[in-house]
Amino acid sequence: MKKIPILVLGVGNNIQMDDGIGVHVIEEMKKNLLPENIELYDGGTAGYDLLGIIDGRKKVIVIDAVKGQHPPGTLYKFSPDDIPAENSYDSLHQLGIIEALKLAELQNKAPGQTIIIGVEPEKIDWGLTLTSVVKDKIPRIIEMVMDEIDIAGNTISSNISNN
Amino acid sequence: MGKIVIDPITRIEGHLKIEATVEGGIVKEAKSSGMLFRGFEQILKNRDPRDAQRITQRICGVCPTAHSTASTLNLDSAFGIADKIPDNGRILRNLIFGSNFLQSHILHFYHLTALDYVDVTAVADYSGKDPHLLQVKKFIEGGNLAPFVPRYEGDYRLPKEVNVSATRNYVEALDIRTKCHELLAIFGGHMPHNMSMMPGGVTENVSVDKIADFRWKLEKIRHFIDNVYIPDVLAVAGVYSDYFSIGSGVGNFLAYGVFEMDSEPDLTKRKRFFPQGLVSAKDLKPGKFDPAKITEHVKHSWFKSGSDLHPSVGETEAQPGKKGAYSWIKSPRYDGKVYEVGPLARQINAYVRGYEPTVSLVNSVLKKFKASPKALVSTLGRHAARAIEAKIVADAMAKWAMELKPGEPVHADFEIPESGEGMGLTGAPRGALGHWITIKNHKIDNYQAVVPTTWNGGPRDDKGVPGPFEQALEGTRVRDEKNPFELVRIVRSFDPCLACAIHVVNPKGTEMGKFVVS
Repeated sequence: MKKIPILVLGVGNNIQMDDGIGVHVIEEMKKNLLPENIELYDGGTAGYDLLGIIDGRKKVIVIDAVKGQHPPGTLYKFSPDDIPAENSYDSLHQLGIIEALKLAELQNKAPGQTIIIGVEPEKIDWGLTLTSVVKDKIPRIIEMVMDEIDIAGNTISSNISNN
Repeated sequence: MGKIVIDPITRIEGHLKIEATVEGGIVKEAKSSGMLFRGFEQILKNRDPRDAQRITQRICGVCPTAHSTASTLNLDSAFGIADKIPDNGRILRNLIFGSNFLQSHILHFYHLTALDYVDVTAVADYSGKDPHLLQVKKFIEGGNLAPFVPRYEGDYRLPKEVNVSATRNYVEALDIRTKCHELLAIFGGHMPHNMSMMPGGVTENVSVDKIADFRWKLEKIRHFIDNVYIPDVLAVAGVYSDYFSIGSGVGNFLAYGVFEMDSEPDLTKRKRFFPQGLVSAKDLKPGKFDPAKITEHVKHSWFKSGSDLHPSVGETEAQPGKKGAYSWIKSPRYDGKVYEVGPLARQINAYVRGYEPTVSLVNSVLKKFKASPKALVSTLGRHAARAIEAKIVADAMAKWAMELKPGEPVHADFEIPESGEGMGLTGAPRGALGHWITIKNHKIDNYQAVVPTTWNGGPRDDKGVPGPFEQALEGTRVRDEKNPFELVRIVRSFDPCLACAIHVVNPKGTEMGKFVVS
């Protein structure tokens, strides 16, 4: 099965407030018309199970909440190689998205390039909404995603319109 | 006297801590603690009842399909349509859930537990041409040992060639799991968090093309189960056969039943592919199950809610720091007693009721190891039951897919009642899963879920009786306190999975300042 070359993957739990930022960004991006070489994917609470979604892509852009000890709303951009896999999750043995990328490598199907766009959460607790400091970052995050898509050598059609 | 603390013990999402007090090499006391508050029930209150089906799928990154199934059965019953589900809808739900079973059991054996038995370093001097093994070798040579470490040392017993082939199969199992997800998506629409299951049936229609696609993908998975997964479990059992008598535990087994075979509205009477019921290891006789006898104790849990309540009137009020408490998990009890849930509980229930093909498959395994049925009640028994279950489910799915009728309805219409109560009982890959709902003014008034790892991993109950993990650990001989292989092997045989609520990336020890974007 031939895969769409560029994957924009929002992960996180949208019933845990700011943890769900990745999913909220995907929902927002779905309102716009995008070129057909880009796939938007709500990865939800899966980590490890996303292996079959990320493998074989030219570029994967992951959006997730990241705890990097900076003020809430801080945006980060890094690649999985920047952080050690075994240190990436709260617990030593959790198999999340970083580990899934490692396993893709093990299968020799790692994406050509992976970029993680992270947002420092303000509040992670039961709830379906984002805090305003994180929600206000959505347009900037989408800009960052679009920049990454541009870098991948794709011309974004100029007629992106709000439906 | 020493204290062994294993935190976390799960190789997958979750925060489970095991504390074992060892005296003279024997575990004298074991405490199982869930370290994360799971209170999603609170956000369901006053919402549209249909939201429960979508929201409960999000509480877990591993078993969304199981929650999707339990909440759907729960809403079928609350909406009074449990007897109206068309055959296509019933079968498609079984196929969606079955796909999830297959990926989950394969994941558990290869990626969550095999590394306790299989020595990956055997691949270090591999000189053959298998691409999977060459890639693993490259990982090891690069000092790139995650996800193979951390691990304990000192008890890897498989012959080198089996270590090598099982490592190869670890990588192949990743491909097979992806196929399971693709299988699920044919009728489930999306993975994770399928979009298709709903009260009344499913949203995806049946076509000849989809059936053919389903059968084609399923055949590859069946081939893997029969020729790779089951032989690997048997190979492990062959050299670690002492684990047929280690980690036996409580010996009471509870199964709610799973995979719907008819549309009887009463879930205690409905025909399920794997039966509902109770079994005690003492006499191996089938016992009848009554859902009214389920309660949850909270004496040793960080909750101020009332204790010994039925889940339909359950409460979820946190009290961190509560005296005498040591877990965020409650202690579910049946008729006041401790019960183990999971594939072993399901297969023992099927076995004592004479269900085929469980009986033949279990007997062939027992014959191979010259063991009596009581050997099933053990660490290896849990692995064997899981592998047997994967085969039975995969074989049945091939049959079920051919019972679908293209063009015929897949769901029944419904209305949300002004008030009502519902109960959804099913078997998740990890064991008995129940959802309960109370509806008032067309909204959710109360929602409670009792999940498998609550049954298995809960703390001592109000009477001080330890939970299933705790009982399985207590009395175990630990050869080397620094490498407590025995303890992780026992707990992982239950396939623990907990409170998978938070998925934030937390790059510990990495200075993130250089990655900040303005």
